[in-house]
Amino acid sequence: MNSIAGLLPVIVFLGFALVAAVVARQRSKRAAREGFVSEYFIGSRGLGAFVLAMTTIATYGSVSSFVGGPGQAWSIGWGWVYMATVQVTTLFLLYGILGKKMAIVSRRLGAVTVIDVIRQRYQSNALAIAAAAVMITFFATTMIAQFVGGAKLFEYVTGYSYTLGLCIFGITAILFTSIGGFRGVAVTDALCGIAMLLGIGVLAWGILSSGGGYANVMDTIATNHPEMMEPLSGGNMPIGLYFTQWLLVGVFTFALPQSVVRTLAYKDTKALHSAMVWGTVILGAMMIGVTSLGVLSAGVLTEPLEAYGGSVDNIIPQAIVSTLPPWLAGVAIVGPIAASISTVSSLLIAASSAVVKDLWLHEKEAHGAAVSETLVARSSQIITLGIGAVVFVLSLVPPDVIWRINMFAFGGLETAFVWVLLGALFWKRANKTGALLSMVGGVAAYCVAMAVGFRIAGLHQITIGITVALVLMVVGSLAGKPTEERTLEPFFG
Amino acid sequence: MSTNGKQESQSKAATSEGAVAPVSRHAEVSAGNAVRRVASGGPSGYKGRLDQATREAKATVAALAATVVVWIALGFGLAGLDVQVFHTPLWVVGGTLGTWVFAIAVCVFLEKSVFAEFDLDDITPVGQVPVQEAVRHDQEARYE
Repeated sequence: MNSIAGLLPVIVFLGFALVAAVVARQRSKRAAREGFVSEYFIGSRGLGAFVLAMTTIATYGSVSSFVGGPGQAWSIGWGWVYMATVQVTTLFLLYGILGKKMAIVSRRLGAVTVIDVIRQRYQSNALAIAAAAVMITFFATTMIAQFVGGAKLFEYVTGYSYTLGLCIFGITAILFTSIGGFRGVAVTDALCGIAMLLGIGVLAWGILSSGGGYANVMDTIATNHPEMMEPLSGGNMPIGLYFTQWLLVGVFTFALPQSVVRTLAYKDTKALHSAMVWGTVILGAMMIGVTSLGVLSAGVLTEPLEAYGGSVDNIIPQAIVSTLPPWLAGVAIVGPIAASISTVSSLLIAASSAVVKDLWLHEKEAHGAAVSETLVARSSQIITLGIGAVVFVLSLVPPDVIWRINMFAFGGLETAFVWVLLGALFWKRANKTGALLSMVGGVAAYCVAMAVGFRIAGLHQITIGITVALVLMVVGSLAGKPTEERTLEPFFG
Repeated sequence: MSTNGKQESQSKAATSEGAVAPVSRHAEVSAGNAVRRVASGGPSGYKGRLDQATREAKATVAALAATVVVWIALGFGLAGLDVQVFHTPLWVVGGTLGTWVFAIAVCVFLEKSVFAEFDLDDITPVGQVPVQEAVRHDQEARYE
């Protein structure tokens, strides 16, 4: 198709995001109260309710929410939407379980990263290094999946090449993250959240218009695929999958470090409470809405999967192309591209913080070496740029089925951090032995199980990882030496 | 220290950590279920705020459990009924929109009846203990 009309909305949006990030960075230079590191990596703890909610949602909602997930819904039916609904708990779990304690403790410690908090609680550099390694590895995996998903979508809808799409939004995302830091990311996340909602609205209009209205679309689906109207989808959506998805994208999402870092960044408890309510409203609308579009597209895209390139990742791009004129298609793809770059920017700044603050600066401080703020600022931007460049290069050759890659990374991060964080904040007996065993052992068990395809009772390997991590946390903590009282004071009073 | 629109004039008490925190002026306790809404000032002291955060975390877990139950009841629970709402099976409407509305209601309930507003700006940073130093303190304590 090679339509400039399809390209223009994306370019306009990305330009806007870049300007917003630069402006946010200029303002943050004036507003920085706690120094560069705090400002660059957590926005000097200044996020209000709206930006807090939107940045959490945009970080969590990724291209798999907009492309992979709805693609599966096209194949499975309303059971996939029912499963996606579990995500309405994401924000209140994060804010309710960790939100207050992380804010209190991090201010007490002067901590600006999740690893800062973990290192202090468990008094272990080895654990901090392991946490940084886990974060960087799984973040890189997720970022690649996001870039690939966005570029594939771009190629499919606009007719321009995958590489061109990757260059346009990939380079923009890396630039605005490097320049804008956390505050720039948070502001652009808010813009991306709005773009996602707009994209969903436009595509909904397209699908329903093409399908002859909602009633007609639903009747078509019910006639062609009656199993899609049942929760088990004729065996395609087993109970076990519902259970493991509850764990993966519901219960344990509060432990994702890229989300947890946002609990260090809000300005007051009023902002947190407001973000919890409004964020749940917006996230539910987004996740239920976009996944439903996948099902509804089955009323318009009625051919077998082979007709659409043999991958469910092609369904939403095809729906956009089939149901919308070129200029509106360009508007519709802004949504999933926004989802992609908002996730990438959040992961990129978090990965950068792990390298700069948790590894490099900590090493310098441990040896009593002072580092000028100018050097820290320059290095932070260079490292953010560097990590982004590596991810960009690795994305040039795309892997398949984005949502599976995303779920792999989700499971790994949740396994690594859930018991470490819960133990840090709520169990005095948790110590560095338990935490180290939990993180390393749990992730190892999870990765090995994934690699060899081992499952228990047919359940996703998250069950293995989480269980092993929990057992190791408890056994290791009870076997190891209790943590000093003075170390526990900031965490328990 | 940031101001809270709900706060009335405050008295201040020095905490054991040397930080100065607003003292809670009043609280309402519902006799039936011990749900507490803390008005101006919130819990006092550093430990008080940590304890409040723990209570809120527990309430959140309970809210999750309730949401799961509702999700099951309104989805799987209604799947056997051959009822449609505007061409949509009832279980889809209940399991998705119904669960979403319940989650929102839960958030509002937590905000209004369980979660407390309190100051974060007055928390005195004590800084981070270098890990090596903590190890030496450990070793010294063992040989005392």
